[in-house]
Amino acid sequence: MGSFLLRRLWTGIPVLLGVSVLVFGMLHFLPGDPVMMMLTQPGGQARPMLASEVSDDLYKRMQQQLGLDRPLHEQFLNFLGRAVRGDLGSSFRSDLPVAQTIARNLPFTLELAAAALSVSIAAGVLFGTLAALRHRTWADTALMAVAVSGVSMPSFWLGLMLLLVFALELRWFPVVATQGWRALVLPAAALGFRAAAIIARLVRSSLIETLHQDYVRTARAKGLPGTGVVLRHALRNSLIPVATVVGLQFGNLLGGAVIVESVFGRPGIGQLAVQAILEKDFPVVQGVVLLTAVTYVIVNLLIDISYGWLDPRVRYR
Amino acid sequence: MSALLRRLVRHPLASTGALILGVFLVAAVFADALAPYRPEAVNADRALLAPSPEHWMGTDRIGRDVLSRIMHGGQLSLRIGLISVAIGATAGLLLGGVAGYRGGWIDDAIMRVLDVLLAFPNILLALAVVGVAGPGLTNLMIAVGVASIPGFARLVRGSVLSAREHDYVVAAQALGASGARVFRLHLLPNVFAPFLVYATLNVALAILNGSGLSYLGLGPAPPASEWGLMLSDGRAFLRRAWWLTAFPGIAIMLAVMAINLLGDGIRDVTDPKLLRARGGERPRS
Amino acid sequence: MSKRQSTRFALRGWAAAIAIAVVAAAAPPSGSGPAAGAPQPGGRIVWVDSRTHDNFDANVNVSRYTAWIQNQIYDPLVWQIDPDRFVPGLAESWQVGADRTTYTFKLRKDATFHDGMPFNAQAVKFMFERILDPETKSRRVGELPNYGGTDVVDPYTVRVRFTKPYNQFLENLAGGGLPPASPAGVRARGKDFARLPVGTGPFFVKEWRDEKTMVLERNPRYKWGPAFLKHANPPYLEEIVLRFVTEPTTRLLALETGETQFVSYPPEEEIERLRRNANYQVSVQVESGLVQNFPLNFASGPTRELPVRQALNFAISRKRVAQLVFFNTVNPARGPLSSRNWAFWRGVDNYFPHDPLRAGRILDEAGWKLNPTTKIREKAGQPLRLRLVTAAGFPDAKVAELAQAMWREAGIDVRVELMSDAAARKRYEEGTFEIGRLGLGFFDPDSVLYGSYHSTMIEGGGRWNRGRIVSRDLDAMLEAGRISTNTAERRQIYQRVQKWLLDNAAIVPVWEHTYVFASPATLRNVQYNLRGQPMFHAAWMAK
Repeated sequence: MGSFLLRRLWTGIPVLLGVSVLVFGMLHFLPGDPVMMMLTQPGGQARPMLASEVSDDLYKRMQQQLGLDRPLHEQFLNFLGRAVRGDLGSSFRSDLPVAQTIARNLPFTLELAAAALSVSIAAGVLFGTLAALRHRTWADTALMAVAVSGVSMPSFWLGLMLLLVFALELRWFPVVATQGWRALVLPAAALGFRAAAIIARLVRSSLIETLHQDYVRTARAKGLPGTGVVLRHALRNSLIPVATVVGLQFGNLLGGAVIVESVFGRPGIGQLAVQAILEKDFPVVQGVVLLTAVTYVIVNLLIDISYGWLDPRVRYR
Repeated sequence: MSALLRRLVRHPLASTGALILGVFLVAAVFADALAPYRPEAVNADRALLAPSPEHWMGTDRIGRDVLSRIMHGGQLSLRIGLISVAIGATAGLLLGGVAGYRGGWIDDAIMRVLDVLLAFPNILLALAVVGVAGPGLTNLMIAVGVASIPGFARLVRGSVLSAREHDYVVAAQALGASGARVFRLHLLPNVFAPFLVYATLNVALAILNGSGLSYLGLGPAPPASEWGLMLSDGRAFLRRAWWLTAFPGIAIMLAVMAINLLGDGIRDVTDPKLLRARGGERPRS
Repeated sequence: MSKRQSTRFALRGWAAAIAIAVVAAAAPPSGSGPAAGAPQPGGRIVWVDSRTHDNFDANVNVSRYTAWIQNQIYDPLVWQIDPDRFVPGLAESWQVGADRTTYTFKLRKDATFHDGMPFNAQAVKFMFERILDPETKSRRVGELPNYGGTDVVDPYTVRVRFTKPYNQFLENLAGGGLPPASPAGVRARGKDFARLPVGTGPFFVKEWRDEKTMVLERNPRYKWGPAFLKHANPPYLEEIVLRFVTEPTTRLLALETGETQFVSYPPEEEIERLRRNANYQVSVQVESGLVQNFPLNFASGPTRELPVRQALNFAISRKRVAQLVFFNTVNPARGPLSSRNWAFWRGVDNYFPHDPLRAGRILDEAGWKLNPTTKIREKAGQPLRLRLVTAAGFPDAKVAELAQAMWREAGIDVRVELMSDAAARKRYEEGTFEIGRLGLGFFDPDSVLYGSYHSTMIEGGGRWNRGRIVSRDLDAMLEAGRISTNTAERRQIYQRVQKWLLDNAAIVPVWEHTYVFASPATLRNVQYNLRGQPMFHAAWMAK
């Protein structure tokens, strides 16, 4: 087990390296020169600089300050070297340290993701099990209909509907608050509903299948009560695909968070990332991507470990 | 194969799904002939009309017929869903199957490459593809499809990993069956059920991811209509013109439901274990 | 009077009302809501704004929307209440050298920064030097061209020198980019100054509750409010909580649940309903710069031909765009410059009324004949196909969609290509388009027109001559306007420039950009400055 952990952690490093190369390359191939974008961005009340007024001198100075004058590979190595030491550079736009900006936003995304994920696992497993036990009854059909509507509703749309019903009509929850648990309920529901529906369907289908497998039928034949069989034998087995999907959903959570954060006006790294990519704020994009990659590696390590716990026959190799 | 098809036709849920999907496909494919109006025909004097005999689903803010736009929009939405999932599922099945069955360094290598893709936030990947290659349907489908490869691959690998420990697989291997044969006969059926469920759900996801990109302003160019785009455009009218969001929303939901029912049906009729089991439980069918 | 006429009349009346209110800003500025009853001090408001802001350092950042908030935190040296009327701000009086290269300011002696430090000549000198210091990475450098230095004559007198005449210095001082910031605050806060700026304004930044919630508190020492606000003392409101929410529907819901008292850009779709409801008030402020338009490519493609450019103008109904896309929260464009601009020239109504038939006739005469099967016009076998390159998102995509449909009626096939801002800008630089998009929020016609139409300003980076217009006449006019110091003369020059643009159908003017705000009727006396930005200094909540 110990060596397995070490090995998995070790294999995380090429992933992080691959992600760094990918994000670095991607940013440099996107159209738009970040120096010019910074200097000449229109939209001010008074006159920002015209390109003709950007002297070569100023341009070079700016380029140098942002570190964009060096060859690509050198920029990349610099970035890596600093990242290893925990220094992610400063935002081109706000000039604030990226690590600090991320640290200010991250708790809100974590809070949202954790709430959404736990709600969706709890609801998904519960309703999926219920549906499987009531296979081919109206309860099964109704639960699955809700699940299907859950997966087929875009999160921005769901978020607005939740606001309309629970914030405006019923006044149970606030619209634009960011503090306290009441502010978290609607965004978490909007973000977690889809994952809950996916998990419910998976639990149901794999549970139905497991229930028909020999060892379960044997257990049933031996006279163990139905629910006990389900919980002790079948459910645990059915959770393997669920664990996989939870790991996958984690990636989707950031995508979902972008939209949910925008609908509810919440702080968070989803918003931060999209804005940064549109403004070509290299250090911020790199920082966020690297951070999600690290989180991803850790989450999936936990999931691999959970395979072993759920099915002792999977050996750690 | 024809036996399978017959069973599928007799499967009530599957045939319902197929029927609904068929209606959507016909409406989409023959939209030019069937739609009452041109989908891009603007009529400023008839903006924001509620559903009526002339406009069954009302008109949008610049007077275009919602029904016609939904019919034409089906072409785009279904294409985004089906093609991108086809890309992701095919590549994922191959990569995940090989990785899970072979194990060892091949597994490691494949999974690490996929991890890079998976660890890279989807939405940024899509933004980047659109940023480099420009917005467009093909780019959008590739972006959504590529982003879904690791998901399929991991799911397949996980199922294979679990199934290859089953006694009958171990036995078949001990008896000297070739890798491909073991994979096809013993592992694939085990993988198939969760895979199909996941694939059908992914069609929905792909359609929805398309709509998410539309919400962020990276959807298909006008005057094209796409369900997600219609839903996003109509969101500010929630209380003033419900038909702008209700009908595209229902269209997405029905289409997704139909695809899911069909997927479930296929699973039921192709899984021998399940057939046996059901035969035992319910002798009549 | 038909219904159509009456709407139009109402629209005009409404625009005129704004214009009057603006011109009359010297007297009472355009207050929002009934100012009945005596102001009641105390109370806090939540302002839900539509953007995410990352830098509130007015000397560094350039954003017309961040300026709305910065204006509560900073005061300018001089206020501008008319194109050529400036009144004292932090400077009590000033003298302009005959050649417009030196400006001498006598400063107020009683003003202090939020951190308690005194405002004085050193602070003014510090500001200019800080902006020009490359370490600051200021985007306001362009507002100090040919800077020669600042002399501290005495603790409350400064002389600012330029190496060449600088016409628009006072205007830029009033424009929001050059308000003094506390030198001690700058040093103490370092990089955090961008989030926690220290100015002299009526409100100071108290804290950030989180990345999307900023709290402003009343400045208790404030007594240097400008005379035209008729309230020199500390503001009535105790606190302004700023929430940044990008989804318009959510902002509206927050207004309706009573969670917010001031909303930037509620969704256009619902403005009518808010206007009809006596519990709410809606304020629409027209932006003063270049109207939102489609520049046409002079250098390549069918748009090289004048008839094609004219037809594009005749075929579009500006009224319909304002009505269908914006639900009349914007005005149809009436000239290349906004009707709020002091050099506005009303030309579009006469030159290019909506007349699709005329568009067709012009194209017929120019040899572009309608192909009856494709319904697209052709000349020498070539279809009349144009590429419209524009940014994705609202409102650009919606306007493009509607314009596309209207042009199609005239037999013009326009392909809309939506992309990110950066990608669109690259296409403008390359010149691979026939129809572009532009609109500028600047105040002075020189900033707007020289940058957009002088032949040296052809797109590439921050230059906005997207249509690649090269005209010696136009250049001469633009240069004359830049040099002249006489407002009446400049107005004449810029009106000739606008006439040239319409004579040549260089652009398709479409709509005037507006700032839209909504609040409950209980929020009284929010005022709007010359640029249409809200000012909360004298605002109060009725209990």
